[in-house]
Amino acid sequence: MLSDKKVAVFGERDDVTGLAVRKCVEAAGGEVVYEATSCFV
Amino acid sequence: MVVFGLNEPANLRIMATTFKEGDPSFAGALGGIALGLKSYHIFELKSEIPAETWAGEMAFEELQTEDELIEEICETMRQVRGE
Repeated sequence: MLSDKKVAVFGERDDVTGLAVRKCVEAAGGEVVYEATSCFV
Repeated sequence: MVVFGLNEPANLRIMATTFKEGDPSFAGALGGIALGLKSYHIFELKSEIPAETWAGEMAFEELQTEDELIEEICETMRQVRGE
C-alpha cells in the first residue's frame, strides 16, 4: 500500500511524532513529501 | 495519501474529512475543495512496516495506547474512507 506512494505525514508531539511516522513510511517504501509535527493540546 | 500520528479521533475525523472532501467548517483554505486523498493512521499500517522499524519507532507508543483507543482510531479512519 505504501510502496512508491507520495505521502503527507502529520504527527503529534505527545502521540506519534511526524519523524517516527516518516521513518515507518520510508521503511515501507513510501516517499514522504510533507512532514509536520503539531501539538493539539 | 495522508498518514497521521495523532491519537485524537475527533481531530482525526476533521482532518481526514478535510483532505478527502474539503474543510467541513468552510473556515480554512480547503473549504469546498475536495482533494480526494485517502487518510490512514500509522496504527493501521503496522503490517506494512518492517518489524525492526516498528519496534524502534512505534512499539512503545503502541504499548502506551489503550487497545480501545486504537480500535476507535482505526474505526474512525475507516468511516471517513467509506470502508
